[in-house]
Formats: sequence, C-alpha cells, structure tokens
Amino acid sequence: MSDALQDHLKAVRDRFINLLDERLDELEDMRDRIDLNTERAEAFEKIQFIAHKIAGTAGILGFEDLGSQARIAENAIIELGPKGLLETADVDTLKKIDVFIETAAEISSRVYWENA
Amino acid sequence: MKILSVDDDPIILELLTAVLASIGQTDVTTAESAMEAFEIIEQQDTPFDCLLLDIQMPKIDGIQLCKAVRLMPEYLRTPILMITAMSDKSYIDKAFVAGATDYVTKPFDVIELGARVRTAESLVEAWREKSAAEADPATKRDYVGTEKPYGLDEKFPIDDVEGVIDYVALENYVSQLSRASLFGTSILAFSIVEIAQLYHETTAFDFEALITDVSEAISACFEGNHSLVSYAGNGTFVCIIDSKDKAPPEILEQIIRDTIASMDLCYSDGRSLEFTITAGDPIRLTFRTGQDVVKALSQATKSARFKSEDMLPAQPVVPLDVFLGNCAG
Repeated sequence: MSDALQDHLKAVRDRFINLLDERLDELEDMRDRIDLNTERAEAFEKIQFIAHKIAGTAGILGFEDLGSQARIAENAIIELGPKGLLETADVDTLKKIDVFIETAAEISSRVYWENA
Repeated sequence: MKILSVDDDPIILELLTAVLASIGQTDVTTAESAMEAFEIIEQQDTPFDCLLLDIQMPKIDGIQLCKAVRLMPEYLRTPILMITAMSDKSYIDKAFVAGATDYVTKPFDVIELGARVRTAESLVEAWREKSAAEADPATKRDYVGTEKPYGLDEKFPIDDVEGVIDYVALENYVSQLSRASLFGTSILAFSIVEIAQLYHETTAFDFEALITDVSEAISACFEGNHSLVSYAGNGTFVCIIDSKDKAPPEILEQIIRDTIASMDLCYSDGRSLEFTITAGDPIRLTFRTGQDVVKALSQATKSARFKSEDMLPAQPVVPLDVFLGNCAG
C-alpha cells in the first residue's frame, strides 16, 4: 500500500472516529429507549442502520472487531423481524447489541487517550 | 476516468475517493443519495465513465438507481460496480439483473477494489475503441459476411432482454456467489447449429437480431427462476440455473426450439430464417475461485458447441408436444 494511500486512509480513520462518538451517543440513546419501551421499533431500526454503516467501514480502517460486532448486532435485529421489534426482545439479541456498543465505546475511548 | 460514487455513508465516500486517488483516479464526484445522483447525472455535459453504487440507501436504493441509469442511452455500457454490505444471493441476483457489471462486498479490501476499478477502466477503453470503430446502426443492414463490425466469436452485449446480461458481468456474478449459493447452481449452455454459415449469410443487423431473439427465447424458458443468461459468442449462450430448475437439458432444449419456432423469424428481406439450437451438458458449480469459474463457463460453452457441431446439418424443428410424445413412447 502506497504512503499516499496510507495518509488518505489515516485521515478517513480520524473522521470515522469523530463520527463514531456521535454515533455512540445515538446508540446509547436508542438502547435506553428499548429498555424504557419507548418507540422500541424505531430504536431497533436506528441501531440496525448505524450497525450496518459501521460494519461496512470499520474493518477497512483497521477496526475488524468492531466491524464484526456491528455485523452480529445488525443480523440479530434483522432476525427479530418486524413483529419481533415490537415484542420484548430476547436476552441474546440485547446482549449482541450491548457487546457492539461496548466495543465501539472502548475504541472511542482508546483512540481518545492515544491522541491525548 | 470520470467516476460517480453514490453512498449515504460519508465515510465510505471518503474511503472510495482515497482508494481511487491511489490508483490515479482523481476525477471523482460523490453523491449521498440516489436523488442527488440523478441530479448530478442530469447536469453532466459528458456522461460518467464508471459508477460505484451502494445498495442500501433510503428512499431509492442502489438497485433501483442502477436500473434507472441503465435506461439512459449514454449509460448502456457504463461499468456499474455495486459496493455494498448486502451479501445475500437475492441482492446479488437483483443487482446483476438490474444491470450491474460487478459486485464488491463491504468491508472491501482496498487493493482488490483498486483492481476491480482498473478492470472497469479497461472495459471503458475497450468500449471507446469499439464505438469509434462501429458504424451507425442504420448501416448495419449493409454489412454482410465477414464485413461485420464484430467477429463471430465476439461476446457482444444484448440490450433490453430481461435476465440477459453481459458476459463480463456473468463471470463477476458467478465469482460473487458464496460457496453455499454455488451448491445447486449449474451452468448450462445452448448453441445455434451451423452458426458460422448463418454468420456469413446474414447482415450485421440480421445477425444481431437473431442472437437477440434466441436470447429472448432462452430467457423466457427460465422466466421466474432467477436465472441469468449471457451471450458467449459463436452462437452460444450460457445460463446460470438454480437447482429448482430440474428439467433435463433435452427438455429445455425442446422448449427453446419450440419458442423459437413460434417466433417465425425472418431475414430483413422477408426470407424465413431456419435454424435450430442444441443444449450442452450442465456443469455443476461447487467451487468459487475466479479461475475455476472461468473454466466452468468455458466447459459448459464447449459442451454445447461440440453438440451443435455433431448435429450438422440443421434438423427440422419438432413441436414440443410431439417431442414429449416421442420421449414417452
């Protein structure tokens, strides 16, 4: 891989981390809504949407684990189906979402301290 | 190469722009939605040479965008690469039926994506040379025999037939299928008997019409079964068939012959165009490396061609009901 490409990718990686902070706020907000039973279906859909985006890019930028956890969370929500979004989600699905959010938070925190 | 990249994720757009710049592609325009892409396309004085499209986007998805773009005459041959996280076979099928040339799944390998774009660039260059050399369609009627703008073996594209895609796209399609999808997928080829003679006897216009009509008959035979058909040159068509299509090749062959007979095909001067087709042996796909896929396509094609050579001269067309009656009894 050329130096120029590596420089470009580093710039994109920084942008990804900045965006990850914003996405984390939204993910945590949506996760709370699921627990509080407020607009549950919309909350699941929003988490799925963000997970889909992260799953598509994280691996390319060197965050393979985050990409994998995002894909696992996305697939778990897809498996719930439209009806499942409205019902009490099984513990397994919520656990997959939590692992995904925790992985994102861990990376965000790690990069923050690396740059501090 | 002038490239349009469409994705609702700004990070992907930045990534693509970086990867493209690293291989010397700096003329890149980005759009964050299909609607924005339509607006940008309409504003262009010269069309884009290559499109990179995400599938999952709000309102209008990438497959709908691909289909709409292919309806624009200036984008009939433009390489369209779908760059998407959707790896299910159903999405891959829909993308290629909509006119995609290639399919890259996210997260993609940066080096591999660069290679795919370079392949698209070589397609663009080949088409530029071809269109410069090719005569106006109206004059194709005057080209007879070997004076045609393409050789007998050329895998020229067939337009406006549902389920019929370019050969390059077909190779890419098979390469994209996961191992699980490949199980139960077969390649079956059909060849027009005495194609060399037909090629020499017809004008360029009549020959193209013949190939298009036969592809339509083959496609109609597999309608509703998510099968893809492509013209492999030399009067041969390759089909990717789902395991659900259990009919044996000889029955499919007879159905296609029957459909062709019902079309009453004629030369431009009104003479009746009489020919028949033959099916090769189905080749089951159980592997997925690029070379193996190319080999399997070639094996299926050769099988149909050998059988067509064995059938010389053309046999009279037997209606399907008579054929089935003969088989039964």
